[in-house]
Amino acid sequence: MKAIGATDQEDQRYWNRFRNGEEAAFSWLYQRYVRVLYSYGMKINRDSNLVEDAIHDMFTDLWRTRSQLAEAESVRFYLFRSLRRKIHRSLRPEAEYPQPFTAETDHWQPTLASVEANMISDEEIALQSARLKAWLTYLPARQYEALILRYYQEFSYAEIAAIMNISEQGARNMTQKALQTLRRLALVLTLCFLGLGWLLKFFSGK
Amino acid sequence: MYPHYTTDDFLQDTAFRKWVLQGEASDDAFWADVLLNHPNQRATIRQARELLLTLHERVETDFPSEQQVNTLYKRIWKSAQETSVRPWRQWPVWLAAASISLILGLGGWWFSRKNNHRISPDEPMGQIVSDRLEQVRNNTSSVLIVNLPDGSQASLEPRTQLQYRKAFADTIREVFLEGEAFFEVQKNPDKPFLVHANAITTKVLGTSFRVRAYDRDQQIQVMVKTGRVSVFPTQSTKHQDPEKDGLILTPNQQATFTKADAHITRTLVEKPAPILPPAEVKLFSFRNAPLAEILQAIEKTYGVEIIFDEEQLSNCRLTTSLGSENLFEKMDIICEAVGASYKLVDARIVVDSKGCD
Repeated sequence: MKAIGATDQEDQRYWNRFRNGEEAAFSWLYQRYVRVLYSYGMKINRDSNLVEDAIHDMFTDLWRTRSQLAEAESVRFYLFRSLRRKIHRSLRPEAEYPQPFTAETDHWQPTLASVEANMISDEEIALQSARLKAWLTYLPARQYEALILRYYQEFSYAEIAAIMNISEQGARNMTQKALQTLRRLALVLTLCFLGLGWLLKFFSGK
Repeated sequence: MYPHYTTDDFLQDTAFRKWVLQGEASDDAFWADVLLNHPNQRATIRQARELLLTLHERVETDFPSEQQVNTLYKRIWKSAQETSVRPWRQWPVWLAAASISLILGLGGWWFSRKNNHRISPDEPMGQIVSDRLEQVRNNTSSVLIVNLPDGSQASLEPRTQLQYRKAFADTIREVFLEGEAFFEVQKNPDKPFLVHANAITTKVLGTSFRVRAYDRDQQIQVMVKTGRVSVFPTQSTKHQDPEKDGLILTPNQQATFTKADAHITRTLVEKPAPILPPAEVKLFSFRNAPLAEILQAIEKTYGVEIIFDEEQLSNCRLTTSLGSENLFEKMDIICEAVGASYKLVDARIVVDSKGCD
């Protein structure tokens, strides 16, 4: 559903038809992108009204200014960058990254304490996807955003840099840092797993 | 090239993405080969795969509902028209007709799609403290999804009633069930989630499980899908803490409470489901592998305990490819191949074998 099977060439074709004032093409572009844009917006800000309004304003502006729009090399890139700007413009700086996202410097930390909680964290080891999900929530917001742009939307580093308003090297670093955190976490959990297996063997051997 | 691939390289590899995201059986063979030939890349591939799947899932859970998409478009189109009416006049008639039929078509498509929209409370309920019991009864013939104040979800079977406090108390989340429901509980180590059903209580911290407790039935059943739950009689004559009379269940286990003698037994659910993501289960093929390894893979996949004598089975090797068979069918196939047998004892599978030559 993400792409509805369409290609960049098709995007351009519809973009041009839309620039000529064809509503069907406008609605096609909307249908193709609204879901991923909304989801992306929700990663930047959890306020669904704000995200909806930003999408509303962006598409309304697009239609109104269609005659002044240029040919787009990548419609997707254009839309993502516009939406991000719209959302950030409607936010005060301090509210930019509300919970559950934490500042760039924050790290993932195991916070469970009680015995019962340990039981749950054992279970976590078995449920890999659940654990990764949790990990993603603790990832600094901008690293998470970069991951999504890179591996879900398949943007190039140059495009990510332009969307996120950082240098290309910055985009690269941010993505790599996120992957490193993942690797580190995976290692820790593997060790836990081995330790657990060893303990079990030790006790059942007796 | 694959031996030197990093996680990043895999994540960008078109073939890899296609395999993970579209899961074509024909790709499985290719990637099974890659895994076999580059065992040192196993962890990297697994990580890349896991990350890709989770990212996609995370992105897709935030998709708007079709109704939202629809309403938003109407809003956009209305605002867009407010300042520019002109384009309508420029339109050739056939184009207008085409766009109307496109909209109609899309509308039909929206309505024909299964409506996944869930019922959710209009406002966060946790704010208001109230002792009043909220009561939901499913009088329909299909499953009714109820969103609880803490974000947990209960899927009520027909003729089932669920009661809960409008605001869960500070220390405990408590619901009362009559009938059958599947629960997906939000994790919260500080606030256990209790399901009171008839004479038994099921206690969890964050997990998914089913409780079947109809008044007319002689037995109450609790079946665990993920996580661990503790099941115990609501009142105990033996212990002050009734939880001591209960059992801890892990995925694919089931507790049966017989009302007549207040006795709880543990067994496996009728159709154990893999506890690993489906994509990972697909890689279940073995080439001349030790039996112990295969049994361990099954243990891991279904989260069940299999008891066997490692020494006795040390000479047993097997080449097999297991697919959609359920746990018991898989065990049948494996045991038959090596001339062994198995039985269920207290939710564990005990394998009996004379060994292989």
